[in-house]
Amino acid sequence: MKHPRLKYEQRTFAHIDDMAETLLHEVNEQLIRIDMGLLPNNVPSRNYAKFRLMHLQRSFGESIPLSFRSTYNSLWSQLYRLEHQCDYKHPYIKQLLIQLKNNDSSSAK
Amino acid sequence: MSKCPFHTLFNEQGAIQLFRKKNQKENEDTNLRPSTSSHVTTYYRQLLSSDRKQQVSFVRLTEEDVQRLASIRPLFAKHVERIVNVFYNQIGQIPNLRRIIDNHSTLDRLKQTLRAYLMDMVSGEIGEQYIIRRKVIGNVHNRIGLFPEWYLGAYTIIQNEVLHILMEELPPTEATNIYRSFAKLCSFDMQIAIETYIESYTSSMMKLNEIAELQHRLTESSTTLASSAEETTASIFEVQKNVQNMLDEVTTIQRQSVQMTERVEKGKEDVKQTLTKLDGVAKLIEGTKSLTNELTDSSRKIGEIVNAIRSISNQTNILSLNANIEAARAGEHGKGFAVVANEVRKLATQTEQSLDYIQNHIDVVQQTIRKFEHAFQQIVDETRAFRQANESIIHIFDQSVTDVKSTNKKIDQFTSLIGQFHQMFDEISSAASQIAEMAEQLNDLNQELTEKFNS
Repeated sequence: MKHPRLKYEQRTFAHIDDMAETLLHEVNEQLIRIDMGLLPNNVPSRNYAKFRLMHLQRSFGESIPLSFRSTYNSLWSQLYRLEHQCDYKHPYIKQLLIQLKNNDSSSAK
Repeated sequence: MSKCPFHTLFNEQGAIQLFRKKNQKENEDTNLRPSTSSHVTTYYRQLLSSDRKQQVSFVRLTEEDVQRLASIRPLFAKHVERIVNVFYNQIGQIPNLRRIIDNHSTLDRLKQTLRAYLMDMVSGEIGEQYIIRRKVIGNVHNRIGLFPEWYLGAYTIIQNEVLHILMEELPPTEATNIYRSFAKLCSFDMQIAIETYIESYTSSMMKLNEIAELQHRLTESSTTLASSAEETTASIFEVQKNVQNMLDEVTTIQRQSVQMTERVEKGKEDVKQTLTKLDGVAKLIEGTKSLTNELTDSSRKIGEIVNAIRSISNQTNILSLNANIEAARAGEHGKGFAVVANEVRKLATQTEQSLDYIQNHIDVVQQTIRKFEHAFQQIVDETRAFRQANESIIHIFDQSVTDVKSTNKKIDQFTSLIGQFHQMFDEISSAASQIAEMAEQLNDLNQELTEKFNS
């Protein structure tokens, strides 16, 4: 964590802890909204949470501080759960899997 | 976190528990109570109706296996702590794994997770949600950099310890059967987790999340760019209009200034002509003044003549008086002569009177000439003052012309500057239009990218 990035979108934070608290709070709210059906469980809704977590990941680097670690890990897991609940697969991954399956079937012949 | 309106849904770690099966108390209860047969069947049917059917069949995981595992739930609850401890004792001896634990979680937290994971295996609830929970494990392992070889090896540790417990607690046949069921479920779990791990690893290897984030930022930036380009174009158009108005105004001022210079030049010419005429009048007055002098001179000469005549008249009067005296001496003979002498005296007297009259008129003429001269002098003085005033006016006109010409020069420079501004704004406007066009193209490209990413 040589140069913590204290900016997110149009906001600048005084300290990385403030940023982490705010962004984790926003991620949590977003995931709850999706779970409660207030927001659709789709890519844009999930990306709102995912990009915030990614930003924290980049900002903290290899090790997330203990004070945030549990929340941070839980929120990632919740996000993965939401992805799997709607059977989300990235379109590129889908294509790759199709290609792999096609290769398998052609080599089997 | 106190700001969160959903804080009541928050657990102590900061995540909601919606996907966890039950609350802690309920879990404790169910840990000790085997699932009912119908309960297991409901979940197992979910499994068979999902796209995992082939995998279930491949590892030969039957409803009976799940039922069998559910039946040893109390036994598992009794020994779960032992399995967890053995597992993490072994894991803790491997520096690479220890580092992953230290960087990404805590031992206590991971023990809790493993405890829940193991109890989940004997819950009898091997359905759709179970698969999702296993998938999440694959994602998490990829995120923290735990490679599959460690993941697969970890199952061996668990399976060994479970086998020890089963052999200790149950008759060999039953222990063997249960272990087989447990091994099947472990294989199923590994299939799911490894499949998700591969997907997740491929996704992170291709930086798909990062690309998606960049694409999202690109969308926002291009939208902002398009809107600001639009605003800039609108502002420039407004400024361009103002500059054009300014240019028009300055051109009008320039034209009016030239007209003013022309008028001032014309005024100067008029004043000069007036002065020339005035000079003519002055000359005429000078000429008239010399005539007046001549008149004065003539009247003076007339006066001299009058005086000469008056002298002659006086002598004539004396002569007539002498003639009268001589006529008196001559007596009778002198009477006629006396008459003549009287007549001559009368004539002299009349001449004297006429001379007085003439003299009076000459005096009047001379007075008039003096008044005339005085009036002429006043005219000359006034004309001189008028000339001086006009010369001042000409000087002012000259100064005005110089000033106006200097102002014209400045206006020319100003006009040139405004012209340059105008040209500059044209160029900026053109650049802004290009930016707007580029932003639109960027938006289109982004739209395509978004469709590809979100399809």
